[in-house]
Amino acid sequence: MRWIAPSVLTLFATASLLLPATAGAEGHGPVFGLATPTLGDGQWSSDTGLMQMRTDEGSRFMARETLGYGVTEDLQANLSIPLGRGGDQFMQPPRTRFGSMMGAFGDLEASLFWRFHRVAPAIGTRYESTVILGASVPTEERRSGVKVGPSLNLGLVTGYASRTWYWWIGGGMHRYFEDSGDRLGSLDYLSAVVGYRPPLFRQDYPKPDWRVFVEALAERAEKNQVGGQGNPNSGGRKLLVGPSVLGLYGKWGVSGGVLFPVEQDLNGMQAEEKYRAKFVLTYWF
Amino acid sequence: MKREMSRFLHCFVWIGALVLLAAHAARTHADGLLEVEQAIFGMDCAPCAYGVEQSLKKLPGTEHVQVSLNDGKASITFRPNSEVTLQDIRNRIVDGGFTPRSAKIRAVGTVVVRGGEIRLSSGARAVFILRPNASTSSTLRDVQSGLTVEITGAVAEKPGDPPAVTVDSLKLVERPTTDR
Repeated sequence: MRWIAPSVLTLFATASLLLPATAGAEGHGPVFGLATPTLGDGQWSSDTGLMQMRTDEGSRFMARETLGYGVTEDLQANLSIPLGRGGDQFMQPPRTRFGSMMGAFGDLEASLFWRFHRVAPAIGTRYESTVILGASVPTEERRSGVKVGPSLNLGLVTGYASRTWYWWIGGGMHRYFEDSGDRLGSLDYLSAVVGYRPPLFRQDYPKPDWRVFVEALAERAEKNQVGGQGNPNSGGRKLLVGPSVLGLYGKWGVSGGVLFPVEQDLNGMQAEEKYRAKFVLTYWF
Repeated sequence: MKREMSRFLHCFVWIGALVLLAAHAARTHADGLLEVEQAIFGMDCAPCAYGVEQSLKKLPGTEHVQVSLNDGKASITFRPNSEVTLQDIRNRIVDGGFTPRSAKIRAVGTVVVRGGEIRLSSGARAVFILRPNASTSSTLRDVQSGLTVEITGAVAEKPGDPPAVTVDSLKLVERPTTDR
């Protein structure tokens, strides 16, 4: 894999060693879909992810790092950067985000998660809602043959967390700005997640904590604009569904999942997606 | 002149040491919060509990913290003369993104009776308003200002400022004779 930001990885590793352990740890959520939890006041987190997308053209791997900080217990600031890519070259890489909350491929994204609604009606139970606002700049001049400009991402998600069941429903819009007559097609997305903690993992802290999820992700991408003209071999709609799993112990978390397309309607001669798989390592400090 | 200065400095050091010793002696009884069992709503997962545990451990004077996800509570014991207040504990839980509810406490302090209200001055910062339950009403009626007592009791979800404790038990604490 070609690493395009090893110095940034070093920076994050150094920061995680130097920053003092702080209060709070809010748990984590699904691998691909939107979720509501935010970090505790003054808390930091690091998410390092590796994703594989397989299409008719082959397989491509992408890595990404997201550093999060709890400004308050309900406001989280994030910086998400691409770490590298490798594998087969796609003529038209699928339009998507590296997980709904981690930014798009090749973009450096800063975002805020504002948990504006939170109710804890019982032991181990929360209803909450979060709005997501992100801004990104590309780390490459062209993507899919299109000059890439900066972008804005706006999302909204609501959900429920408990000792047994979880669910989140949300959606977002990711809009790219024009660059020299080109514009990467915008992306609208909806996600739905249901999670379950088996009885074996409902033992009390500090026993390990595992959950399984079923995630659904619907994406609709506009055609890319090249020289003011829509590229007929871009854009389309997908519906993907698949399982994921999350394991938590102390200040570490591991999660992984796979999505399979149950429906694809792609414009032109684009290669169909076979699956996307993702693995994330999380550390709270 | 030099001898006078030296003598003055020696006296100053000795007087200072005696003052410090006296201050320490005055606080050798276990004052302050001793145990708190704080109910917490909203913790669903292991990192939630870990974060609350680490945050509460950083409170000064904390001896032991145990967090239960299934019971939704944090049990904390403090070393004698801890200056932690119940509000300090509640603030840490709120900062973590969770909701503190009712609590059970055990504390030692000095009784202050003023205008029909009985207060417990516990440690350097904590003050509780003492309210009786069915079994402690006569005990609280007879308590006098200046006594050092140990109480156990319950604090409601919204405890007020200062927090009100419904007293389950109250017993006198003997002070060391050096304090008198």
